[in-house]
Amino acid sequence: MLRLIARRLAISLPVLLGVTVLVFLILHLIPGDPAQIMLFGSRPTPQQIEQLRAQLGLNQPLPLQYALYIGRLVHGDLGQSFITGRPTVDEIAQRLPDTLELTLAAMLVAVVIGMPIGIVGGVRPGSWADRLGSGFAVLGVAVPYFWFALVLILLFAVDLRVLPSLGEGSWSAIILPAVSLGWGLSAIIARLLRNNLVEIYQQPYMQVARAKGLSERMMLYGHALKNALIPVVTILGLQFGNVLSGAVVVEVIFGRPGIGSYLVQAIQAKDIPVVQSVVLFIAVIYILINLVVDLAYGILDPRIRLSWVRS
Amino acid sequence: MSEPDGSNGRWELTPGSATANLTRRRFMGLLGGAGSVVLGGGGLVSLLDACSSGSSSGASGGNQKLTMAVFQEPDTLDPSASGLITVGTISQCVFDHLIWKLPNQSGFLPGLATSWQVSTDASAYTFKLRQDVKFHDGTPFDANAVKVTFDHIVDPATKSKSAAGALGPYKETQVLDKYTAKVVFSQPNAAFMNEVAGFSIVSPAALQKFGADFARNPVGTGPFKFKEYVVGQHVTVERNPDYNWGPSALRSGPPTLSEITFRILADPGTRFNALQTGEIQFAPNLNPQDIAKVKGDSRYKVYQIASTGMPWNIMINAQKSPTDELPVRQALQYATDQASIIKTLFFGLHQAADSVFTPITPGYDRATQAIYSYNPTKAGQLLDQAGWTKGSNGMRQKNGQALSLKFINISGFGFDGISQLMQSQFKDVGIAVDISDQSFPAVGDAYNRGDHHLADFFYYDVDPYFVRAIFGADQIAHGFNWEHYSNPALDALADKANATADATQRNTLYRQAGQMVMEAAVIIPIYNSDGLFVGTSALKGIQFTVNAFPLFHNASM
Repeated sequence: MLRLIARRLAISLPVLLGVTVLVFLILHLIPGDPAQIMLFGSRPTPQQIEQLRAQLGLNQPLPLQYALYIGRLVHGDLGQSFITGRPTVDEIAQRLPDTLELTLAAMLVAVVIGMPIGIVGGVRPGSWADRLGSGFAVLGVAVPYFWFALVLILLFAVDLRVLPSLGEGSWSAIILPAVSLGWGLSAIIARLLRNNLVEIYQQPYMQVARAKGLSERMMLYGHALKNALIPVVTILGLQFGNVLSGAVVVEVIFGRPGIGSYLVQAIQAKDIPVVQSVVLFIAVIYILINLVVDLAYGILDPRIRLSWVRS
Repeated sequence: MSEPDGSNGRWELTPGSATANLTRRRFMGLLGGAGSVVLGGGGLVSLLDACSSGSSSGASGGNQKLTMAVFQEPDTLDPSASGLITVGTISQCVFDHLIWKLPNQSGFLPGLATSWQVSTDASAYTFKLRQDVKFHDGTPFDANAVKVTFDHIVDPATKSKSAAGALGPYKETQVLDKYTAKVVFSQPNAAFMNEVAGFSIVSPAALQKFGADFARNPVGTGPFKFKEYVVGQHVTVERNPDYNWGPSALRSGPPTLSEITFRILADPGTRFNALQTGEIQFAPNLNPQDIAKVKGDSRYKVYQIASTGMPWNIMINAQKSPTDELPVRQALQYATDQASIIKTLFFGLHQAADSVFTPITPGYDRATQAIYSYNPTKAGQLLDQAGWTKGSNGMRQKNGQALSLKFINISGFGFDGISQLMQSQFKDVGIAVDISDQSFPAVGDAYNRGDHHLADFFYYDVDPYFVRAIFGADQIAHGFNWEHYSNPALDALADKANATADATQRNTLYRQAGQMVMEAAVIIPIYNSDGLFVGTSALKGIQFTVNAFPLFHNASM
């Protein structure tokens, strides 16, 4: 298993390198000169702009700029923010916990809402509860989370006054952002789990189990759910990236600090080192999560565990 | 940093999106994201009301905490370095000025300086200082602090985004005695008198102690002390109990509010929600439709605060055919229906502009500058006389050339709707307009080249000397003379005004300059630059600077 982890991490290095190339290129291809933007308010002379460009290393050829960036990266130096002059690592470290908190809370919401709905529908397909759940799932996938967030705010914060409209400052502040961000995913989970369960209940081993006289409860928890959960875990992993990117918008709507709102701000200001660092961080998290998902497979499915040993 | 023409740093057009480079004293209207521009208003709360009770009413020492929304993350909390409106707002709490200039108060008011003297050529300013003032770190305020502040502004290491430009051709500050400072310029700089009311005096001891970290540990003499800055979340300031040197027009003693939290909320919708739930009590730059919604609501108070500067306007390229013809430019003035633009796009929350200056800017003169008003018939007559006659399709042409203008609009800048409405208004008089959107700041190149006939512009400044930077003949190729208007007489007038210490004479010169620009018809004023805030009705006593920064000296809840 350790070898597996090592191998997966090694494979992810080229992925990360690809990410740095892409982000670097995109940022330099967007029109707008960072030096010009930074100096704009002070009516700079062309010489002053040139001087700042030189200071920031922007006057060098792109391949060299990239090579220098990678060189610093290897030494653990992610650069300084053009705007504040502070290391981007510090800036991100101050904001990352807020984003992780929101993302994890949203995943939790998704699981807590999505699983029961999926199970009820999967065990009793065609029942009124199943239909209600399916309707919910369609809505959840169809309704954009930023719109849903606004509706939640209007209802629970502005009208009913039971929850704060701002997503930071008290313990209850996380509820609305987490629900708006996790709702769509809960619908995906519910639908997937339901369909898996429906399929599994038709498998011969389930019929055998029923013939042996196992209780419904044993059938569900002992046999059906474990098998039905494997694709759900995959989806959770795959969707983590989506939830993280959704956090960008949700953070802005709820006025929450985090790397999402920070990224938006940095892109607008062409704060290149910050954008590069934030995207790199997100890529690393993404890769790590995928690794965790792969490992979780093994825990849920002995056949997969066995294939690790063989390889 | 200072240019001989003294025109540096006076330009503050800024895009809604780029939060990095916004300037503090002039530029107010950061347009948060596409289409969410919000400034301006319709005289909802008079300044008299807003600036009512002065001195020391109300109890001090209570526990009144205000939460105000700000729409940007601070880049630095050093007022000498930052160019952001948010930092300017916070700095008004933490720092003091040598002298003050307030709306509805004639002349200048004593601040940290008790009296001042200007040399006849307006190149040296001597300030007699208060002797009873202490910085928040306990060190006493004296003439050295004035010197250190101005030296810090022009220090290249400070990377000043706004203050250095406002300071102009600064040479040095001489400490004549412990409480007398003389600020000297390398050439006449009459604008300094208005600008000095905006500079924040910083603690030399703190500057030395924190070095570059002063950016996160601002120390001044203001009514509130800096308490904390939580990145991405808020900046908090607390009452300075020792404060006893505020201008009497504001409140001389310690403030009533015990604490102000500036919540960073980038989205105007988020700010409005939080205002409705009571999580914040004061918010800038809300969406016009939201402001319109609470306008008659007794739970809220809408503050529409006039600002000095140049109105939101459309610049006309005076060197590109056909707008190089004066009658064409004049026709555009008469064809523009400001009232309808303000009503349609801003729910009537702005005041129509009629000059190159806003009404409270020195140099504004309605009689000689407000020479155009909406009159499509007159626009048609002018064009007919100039040979631009209507064809069968209702559009005008002359000698086979169609009367067609290129409007380069800065997307997401607050002019998207304005440009579209003007396109339709101009069509009504037979002028075709082709709008192309460009992003900021790349658009500056196109404007400097003169690719456009029509361009977007607005500007917040406390001194009318900005006409030199915006209309100066030497500002066409690289500066902000996007009207490509070249008139040596105007340049000479502005330079003469900036070398004139006498305020009355100066105003006369700027009145002439304003008239000159309006007669040349190179800008179409749309609405007056202003500040628009909404507060809860429980919040009282907020006052404002002449460029619409809120002041909390006498605020209470």
